[in-house]
Amino acid sequence: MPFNQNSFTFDRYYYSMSENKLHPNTWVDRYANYLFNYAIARVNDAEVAKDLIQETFFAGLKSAENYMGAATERTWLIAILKRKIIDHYRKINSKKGKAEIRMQYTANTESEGNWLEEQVADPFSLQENDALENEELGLAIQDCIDTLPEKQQLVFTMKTIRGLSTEDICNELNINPSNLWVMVHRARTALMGCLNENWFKL
Amino acid sequence: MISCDEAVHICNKSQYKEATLFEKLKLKLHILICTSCSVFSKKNKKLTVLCDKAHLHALSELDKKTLQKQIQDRL
Repeated sequence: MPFNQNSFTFDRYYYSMSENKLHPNTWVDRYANYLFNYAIARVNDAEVAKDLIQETFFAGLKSAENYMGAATERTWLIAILKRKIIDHYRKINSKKGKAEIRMQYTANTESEGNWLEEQVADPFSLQENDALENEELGLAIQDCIDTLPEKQQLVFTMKTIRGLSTEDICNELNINPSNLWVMVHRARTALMGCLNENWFKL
Repeated sequence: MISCDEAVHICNKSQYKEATLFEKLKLKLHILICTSCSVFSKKNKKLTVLCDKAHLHALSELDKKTLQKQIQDRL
């Protein structure tokens, strides 16, 4: 961001220098995957999530001068992403026939009548809590991955998350398999240490 | 008998189902007598379980590059 003649912008820029600063150049490398996982957990569609992240980054650039540095860059971007997700749901809901309100409590025609009691969550089911916990776990892992050195991040993500074969990764990154395994090993050891406090109760 | 380095290597490979049966056998034997590798192996397996459970997603390098370029263009 260049220094502006506008002193107002300058003050804000100056202020934000002392605390947190925006570095749009590093956004993709540092936050894209975290935001992607955050979005996917909420919209359940990779393509939509991708678009939302793009919109988030653009909106971030647009309102960069409003950033006061009170929150970290990532928190700030997440806040924007949340708005984008809400907007997304508003948009898809407005398409579905505005005048029509059709409430069907149950899709299951076998049950008699619309008994809401049949629909309440089973308190003994762990499924719902599991989903929440898994999202939290996913973001915790992604957080740890983001602290790894760049090359390890890349190799670990390709191997573990995207599930590419050793051969493909070696070809794409131009490294040999023993290089790859050394990096996988370092990444895994670092992740074990990073996740240790909250998730690793052996 | 295999060294700890080799055991660790096999252990990492087996997290991605890339260790051969013979290698896994060698690892099992090593773990019987080596406490530190046995701990490492347990933790490593746990990490694999956690990663599976988390259903993580990642943008492809191409997607990231496109995004990066779009940001660059607007700076």
